[in-house]
Order: sequence, then C-alpha cells, then structure tokens
Amino acid sequence: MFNKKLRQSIGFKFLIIVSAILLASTVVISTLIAINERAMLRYSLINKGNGLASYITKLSKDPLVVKDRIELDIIVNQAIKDEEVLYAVIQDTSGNLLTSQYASIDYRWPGVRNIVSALPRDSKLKDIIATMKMQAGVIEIFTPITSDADTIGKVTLGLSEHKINQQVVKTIIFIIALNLVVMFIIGAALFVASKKLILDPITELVHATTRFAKGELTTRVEIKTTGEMLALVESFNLMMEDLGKAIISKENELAWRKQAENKLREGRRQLKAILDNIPAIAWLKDKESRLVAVNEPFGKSCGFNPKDLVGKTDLDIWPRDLAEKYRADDKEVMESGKRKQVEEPLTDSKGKALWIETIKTPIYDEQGNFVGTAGIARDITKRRKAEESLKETLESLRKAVGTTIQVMVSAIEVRDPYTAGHQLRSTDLARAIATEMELSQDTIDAIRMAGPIHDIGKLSIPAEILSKPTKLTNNEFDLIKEHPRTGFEILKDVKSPWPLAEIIYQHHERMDGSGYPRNLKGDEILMEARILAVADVVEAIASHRPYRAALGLNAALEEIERNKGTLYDADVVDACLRLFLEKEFHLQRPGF
Amino acid sequence: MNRIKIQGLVILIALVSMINPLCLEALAEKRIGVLLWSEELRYIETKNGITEQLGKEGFGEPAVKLTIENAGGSKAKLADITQKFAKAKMDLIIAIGTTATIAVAREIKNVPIVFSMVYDPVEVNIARNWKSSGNNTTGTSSQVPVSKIMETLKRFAPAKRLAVLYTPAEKNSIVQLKKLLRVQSDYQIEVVPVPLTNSEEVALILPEVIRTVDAIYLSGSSIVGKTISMIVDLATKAKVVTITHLDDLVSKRVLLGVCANSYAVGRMAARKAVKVLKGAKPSSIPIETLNNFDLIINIKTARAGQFNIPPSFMKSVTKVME
Repeated sequence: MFNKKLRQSIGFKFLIIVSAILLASTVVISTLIAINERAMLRYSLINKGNGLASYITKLSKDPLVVKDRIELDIIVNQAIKDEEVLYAVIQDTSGNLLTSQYASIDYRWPGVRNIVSALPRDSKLKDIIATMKMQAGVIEIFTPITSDADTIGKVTLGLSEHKINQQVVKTIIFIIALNLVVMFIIGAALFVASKKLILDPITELVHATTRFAKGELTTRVEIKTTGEMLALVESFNLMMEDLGKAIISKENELAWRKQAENKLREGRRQLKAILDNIPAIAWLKDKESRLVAVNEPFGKSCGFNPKDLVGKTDLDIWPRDLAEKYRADDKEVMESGKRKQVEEPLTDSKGKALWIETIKTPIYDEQGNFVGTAGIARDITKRRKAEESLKETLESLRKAVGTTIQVMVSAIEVRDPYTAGHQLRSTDLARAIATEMELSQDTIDAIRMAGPIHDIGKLSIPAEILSKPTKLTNNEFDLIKEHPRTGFEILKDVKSPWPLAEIIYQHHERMDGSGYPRNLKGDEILMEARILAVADVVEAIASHRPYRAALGLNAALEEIERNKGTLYDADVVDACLRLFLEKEFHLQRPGF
Repeated sequence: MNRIKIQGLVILIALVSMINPLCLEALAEKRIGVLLWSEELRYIETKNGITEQLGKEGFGEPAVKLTIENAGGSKAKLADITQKFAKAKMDLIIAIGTTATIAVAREIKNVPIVFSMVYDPVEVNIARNWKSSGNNTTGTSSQVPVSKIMETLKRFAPAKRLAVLYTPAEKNSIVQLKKLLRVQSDYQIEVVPVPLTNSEEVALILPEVIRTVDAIYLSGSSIVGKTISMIVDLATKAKVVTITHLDDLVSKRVLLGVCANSYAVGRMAARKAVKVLKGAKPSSIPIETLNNFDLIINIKTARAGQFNIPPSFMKSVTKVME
C-alpha cells in the first residue's frame, strides 16, 4: 500500500501511532458513551413519564380545562410524538383505559401499523397494546398520577427497545463521527506541529548527514527551530565542522604519507640503483643468517634471481665449505659486535675461483638490539694478482740491487779497504739499532742496502786526500763534504725499492741543522739517515783511521751521548747505547 | 328684487348651517377590521356574505373603511394581525372562525367584536351564554346540531363506528368532537377520536382508521382542510362514508354535508354588526345560529364509492354537488 521508504519514515510511524491512539480512545469513549446513553435515555423517558403524570395532576385540578377524556387524549398524543414512544396510555385506579386508540398509539411507524393492521377492525386499545407488547420489544414505564397524596391513576409509556437501540446507535455514530473529525483535526494539528518541530529538523539532519557522507564536507543544517532541537542542530553543525576538519586533515595526512611513501620508494629505488650499480655484491641478513635483501651483482655472482634469494641461507647458495666459512664469519660478527673485514676465496656460479674482500657489519635497531648483518664484498682477484706480481718484482729488484751493491762494495774494497770496512761495520751497527728500535723490515732492509755504500761518493776524492794523515785544508775538507752529494748522483738513477740515494745524501746531516751538504734538520732527515749517521760516527771514532789512531768505543759513546738530541736523534742514540752497554754488541764486519 | 336675493341667500346659509353637522356625522368614516382565520372557502364565503349585507345596509365602502386580513391558518400571523388591529383604533372588528375570534376577544376588550363561523362560542369561553356574551362580543354560529348529523348518517347507512378527525390545537375542532362524543350512545354509534397534529401524519394514520370505522366525520380543522382530497380518496375507495358540517368540504368531494350556509351565516353576522355600528351594545345582542340547514350530497363521490343512496334520503337532499 505504501512504499517501504515511506513506511519506515518517522513521520509515517508517528502518524500511525497518533491515529491508533486516537482510534482506540474513540472506541473506548464510544463504548462508555453507549452504556451511558442507554441509561440516560431511560432516565429521560422516566422523567418524561413523571412530567406527564404531574401535568395531568395539575390539569385534573383545573375543572375549566379537563372536562372529558379528549384532554387526556391530547396529552398522550403529544407524548407519542417522541421517537422512542410507541404508545402512551392513562389508566384510572381500576385499570380502565381513559385514552383512545388513535391518540395513544403512534401509527407513524411501519412496525406499529403492521401489528395493528393484522388485528380485527373492532379491536380494543387494551388488546392492541397487549399484542404490541407480545410482538415488539416494548419497555413499559409506569408513573403514578397523584392528587393531594392520593393516587388517581397512572401513565404508561410503551417504549420501543429497537428505537432506543437505534437512538443509542445514532448517538454512537454521531460521537464516532465527531471523534473522527476531532481526531483528524488533532491528528493533523499534531502532525503539522510535530512535522515542523521534530520531523522536518530530523529529515533535514538526515539529508545533511547524507550530503556529508557523499562528500559535501561544508554542508550545514539551516532550519529555524528553538529549544532542544536548536541545540541539537547547533551541536550537529559543530560536529560536522569538526568532522570535516578531521577528514580534511586525515586526507592531508594521507596525501603527506603517500608523498612520504613515494619519497621512500624513490629513495629505495635510488638506493637500489646505487647498490646495483656498485661493482660489489651487497646483502642484508637477519639474525639467523637468512638473506633479507641482495643487489643485482650478488645475483649474478651466484646465478640466481635476486628476488629468489630472499629467505635463503649461504648453505642454499654456495658450496658447503665456503658457506660454512661465511656463516662462521657471520657468527663472529654477531658475537663480537664488530665490523669484520676479510679477504677470502670464492668460487662463482661458473666455477671460477675468485678472491673477494668482504666487510661484514652488525645491524642494530633503534633500541640497540642486534637484528642482523650487512655485508659487502668486492672482487679483489686482480688486485691480489697485482700484489703478488709486485711482490715478485720487488724481490727480483731487491736481488738485483743487492747484487749491484755487492759489486760496488767489492769495488770500494779494492780501492779503499779502510772505507770498505768502515762501511760494513757501521752498516751492521745501524741494522742492529733499527732492529733494537723495532722498525719495519723495509727500513731495516733500506739500511742494509744503503749502509755498505754510504761513502761511495768518496770514490771521486783523490786517495791522497783521503789517506792524508795531517789536517786537511779547507779546500780539501770542502771536497770531502761533497761526497754525500756525489753518492746521491751515483745512485739516483738506480731503480730500487728503497730510497738509497736519498739516505746516502742525508747521512751527514745533523738534527740541529749543523750537518752537510744541505743543512737539513729534524724531521727533514729520513730515519734511515739518522740511524746511519749515529752508526757512522760511532764506528769512525772507535776504529782506526789512516790520519789517527783509534779513540776507542767509550769515546764514541761519549760523543753520541753528549750530542744526543742536538746533533743526533735521541731514540737512535738510546738504542745504540743499549746495544753496547746492555746487549754486548761488538762492531764487526757483517757478511752479506 | 335685491331683498328677495338677500332673503334667499340668508335661507341658503341657514339651511347649509343646519345640514352641515348632520352631514359631517354621516360622512365620518367608520373603520372596520375583518379577520379571517384561513383561506378556506367557507371563510371566504362568510366574508362575502358580511361585506354584501353591510353594503346593502349603507355600510359598504367608501362609507366605511374595511381592513380585511387573513391569518392563513397561522397562529403567529394571527397574533400579529390582532396587535395591528388593537393599535389601529377600529370602530368594529369582525372575526371569522373560532381560532381567530378567541385570539381577538382575548386581546381587545374596548372595541366591539362581531364574530362569525364560531361553532360553539360558549364551549370555547368567548361568551357567557347564547343570549348575552356578557362582554364586548356578539355574533353568529355555524353550528349544526350534532343530532342532525347523527340522524343524517343513520338515514344514509347503518354505521357503527364513526371516526372524528380533529386537531388538538384548534378549539373549534375539539368542540365538535366533544359534542359528538356526548350523543354517541343515543344513536348507538361509537365515536372514535383521531387526533391529527400535522399534514404529514395523515397518510400514515388514515389507512388504519379507514380499516376500523364505517364513517368519518370531518371537523373544522385546518389540517383536514389541507389534506381533504387524500382523505376522501382513501375513504371512498374503502366505501367509508365521509360526512361534515362544512359546505366547502362537500365541494371538495366529501360525500355528505349537513351545513349551515356560510354565506347566510355571514349575512346574519353583518346584520348584528350594523346594530353595533348604530350604537347597540354587543352584550345586548343575542348569539344565534341558522334555523335551516342544507343537506348536500356529492354525487361524484357517491358514484366513485358505489354507495347505495336510499331513495327516501335522496328526497331530503337540498343540494347536489356534481
């Protein structure tokens, strides 16, 4: 009958409820009135009978008016004009009827006519009334007629039960009709009022909510109302505003997050590009040494798709022996918490043996908990090979230089046996000092190579000057002072792993700059040169010279101790003194 | 010559001065109010009898000023007219019909009232007795002795039950009923009173009445007047005799009429009015009825109802209506 939407609307329900209540109240009221109406009607008819009786009483006291029964006829004839009265008769105390047939019976009604017309034409009023009482529902009301406290007769009203009921029904119908009208008016008024006060605002709220839900965030309820509804509408609008703002900020947040995610993705892409582009393999492992992420080169190195490697362990990828070694490394990094850098072998997917340099670093979360390891490994096979070949070259060079120096030493020995001895002995001391000072093998080697030929520049000095037992002239001494430079000139083009020419050039320089030929000082002087300088002086003073006798070791040590820190390097002097005084070192000619 | 002229002039002046007061008195306009209860034919005829007789006796217009009013059967209108006549300072009021007479007699005491067509002025308390009213009224009655009606009915057919149609609100009608009730045992005819309070209920009550009686008496009732053709039709079909004392009803097809001639009753009333106008006191003038009555038969109705009219009865009929 009505569509679903209408049936579910508040207005419809309200209307139905109001109608039901009013209808129910109408039924209740009508029933009550019906019961009351019957009683009222009976009461009013009894009153009528009483009225008639008292009227007759009054008339009977007035001889001018009542002269005969016609007056009584006229009275009852008036009484029967009432709807419910079928007949009205007056009887005397003996029971004789005083009124006549046509005055007493209401012939206007078909029911009465039907009954009467079936009777014999000369029927008496008494018989007619008896028949009516039998055939029609008649209620009789008797009222005594009194005069001066004496009963002089009685009025009998014959009432039609049917007509009384009809009258009651009529009244009920009238009341129901009236109630319906009132109900309709009240209902309409209630509906209009509630529509204006409640339903319209609610409908508008519903519409506003729908609009809001569809995305009209600025939608507001704009209706004229008062009281609680106004408060509701206002708080609804306030709520809408807050909600709108919240949604907008949420949307902004989402947009911002999306942007952040884009940035993150972009960053990751960039990172991946970087990672994939570096000529090294890189990975991340979790605590159980499972791969979390790898770069492209990693995949290439083992022959897997990088995506397929996630979740795998070294055991799944590499030959067993290598895998276990890697896992051991991981374990070490995890346990130590330190970065580990190792060079290790690797057999790639094509079975090619490689060398890699691996750096593994522990990774921690923000709380400092260990979460895994990051690793990077680069192919160092080429470097490794280069290093090996360099080593070989160096070794061969060393051998070549050694041979050359041996040749030079032999040459010097032939020409100047003193100097040759001096050179070998001071070399031995210098090597011992360097060893005492725990210097590198390379430094020691440099001393060993440079030492035996450190005075090679003296080859250009005439032998008579060198072996002159008298004091040298200034010119002669200047000539001698040139020998480090000459030595440098001789050796400068010799290919050597050590700075032999420079050591030789500096071996007469002093820490305070008082040496020659370039007056170098302090750190300008190579450590090899400083050591060689001390060893040279000690050997020179302690040994015999063509131009003087040997001054003795003690003199030599005094000399260096006295000039320690000024002419000579303090550490070198200390080491030298320790050799002689504590470790029983003896100057001797070393062998190659 | 001059003397004769002067003498003649003096005589003329003397004559004129002698005649003048007489002339003024004779020419003084008498104002007469005539009041009819309704437009029923008998009342109209009565009025005609009155005006014609007044004219014959020198009290016709323009000698007197007649104000004729008709209440049309309405008591309200009747009261209005009565008030109007009371204020108009009439010299004489002529009332036609019992109801009209009662109203005027109760209200107006200082103006002579001559009534007509009042069935029984004593019964309805207009007059103290038939010889002298004892007040400002006198008049004529249309009364037909009920004995004459009962006799006529007996002579026509052997009736046992006679219904009397009456209107409780109209005294005239009730008086006729009461008179019949008093004589019913003398003629061994049961009188059945049938009150009619409005025209609408006549059709509902009458069939049952007709079923239970042999004859119907039609009293002077305005409701009977209005519904007479229906009453007669129903009765005639059932072969029920209809009888009345009102001649106008016979002209409306009532079968039998024992009637005082309305016109004659009017003329009789007019003669009494003239006496009053000439100075007689109303109370000194006796109230009278006619001595001779018409026996009228409506032959059309008789034929329609196929009534057997005894030849002896037909001989006594004075008037036959077609």
